Amino acid sequence: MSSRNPHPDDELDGLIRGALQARIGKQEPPDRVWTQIQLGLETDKAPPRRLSIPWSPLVAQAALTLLLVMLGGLGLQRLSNPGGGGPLPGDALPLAPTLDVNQLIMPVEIIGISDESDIRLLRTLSKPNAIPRVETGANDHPPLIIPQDVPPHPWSPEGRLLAAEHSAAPYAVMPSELDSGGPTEK
Amino acid sequence: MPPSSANDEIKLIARAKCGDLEAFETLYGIYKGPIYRTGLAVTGDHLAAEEILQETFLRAFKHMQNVREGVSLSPWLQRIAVNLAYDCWAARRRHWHVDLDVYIEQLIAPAVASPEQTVEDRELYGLVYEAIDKLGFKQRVALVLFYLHDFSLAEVAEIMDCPVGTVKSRLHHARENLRRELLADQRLPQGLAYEFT
Repeated sequence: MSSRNPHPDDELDGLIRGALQARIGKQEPPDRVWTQIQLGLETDKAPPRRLSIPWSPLVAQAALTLLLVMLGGLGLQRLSNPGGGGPLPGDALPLAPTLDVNQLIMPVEIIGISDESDIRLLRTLSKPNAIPRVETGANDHPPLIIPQDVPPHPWSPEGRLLAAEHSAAPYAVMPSELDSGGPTEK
Repeated sequence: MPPSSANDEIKLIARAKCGDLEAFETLYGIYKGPIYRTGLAVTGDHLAAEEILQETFLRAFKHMQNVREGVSLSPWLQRIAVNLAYDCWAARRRHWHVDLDVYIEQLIAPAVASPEQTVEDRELYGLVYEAIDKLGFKQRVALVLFYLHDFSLAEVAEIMDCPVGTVKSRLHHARENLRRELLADQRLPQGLAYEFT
């Protein structure tokens, strides 16, 4: 009986010990494990990666971006050459699918705006130093009619002056209300 | 090469704490076998045992500063390995499958084994190992640490993070389960089965 064994050293003890020794006792790990440990230690010593995003989503994102750029380029090319979708007639060669920077600046055609509120909105959205210009547009559309009293841009000096005049009214009561007997109590 | 004395191991640990990879490699050479065998005995899978060995030493190097002065590295490494082995063991149990040939052989085996059908002594260990393989994780680990590595009850308790009484209980139940399993195994020689009763 072993002094370390709480049970009497019977046949079963010997069988357990013998079975474990026979199956496991002589097994040794392959040398490649230490190589892998060394690689792991070198990785641990390396500075931490700044990107915490796993590579697979990053690659997928890059591929998606590339795909969108390619599709965008094709779309622009198709826009710049509307009739070029089908096969080219005769011996004509297709143009190389290069992306021209000028193709990115798309002409915007505003047709048929004559309402003053639309003009004000466009004026507000445009640059402060932009000059209103009348263009006739395409042949099948009537020329634009822009009113002569185009309001100044609100950020321009004239526009700011106009806004200050409206906001800082010197009257507590509007003259029109005086004419009509003053403000009515609600 | 094992250290000639405990002092040598303490010096190696001290050097490894300072990041000395050569000292760490020497410690690996000392303990790679026992740790690998623990992983193999618990999981029954060589690849899993390799991964357990690798991960055990990577974690050991990372947390070498936590090793107390003057103590052996063995129980600490074994504890890391046992904790890692649990995941592999649990995964293996989830995908448990029975070898169809072995199962059919058991089904068609005669009720009482004839002397010609009894296994040889060297095959007896195989039957015992099969029975050990059916034990639960904690009983299996207790058996491996106690019978294979010859750790004391106190050392097994330290590795398994439980009281010594719990280790005794696990060993007792492991033996009882093995005894029951082996008695039910008709491939076992009748004379030997009588010894277990």
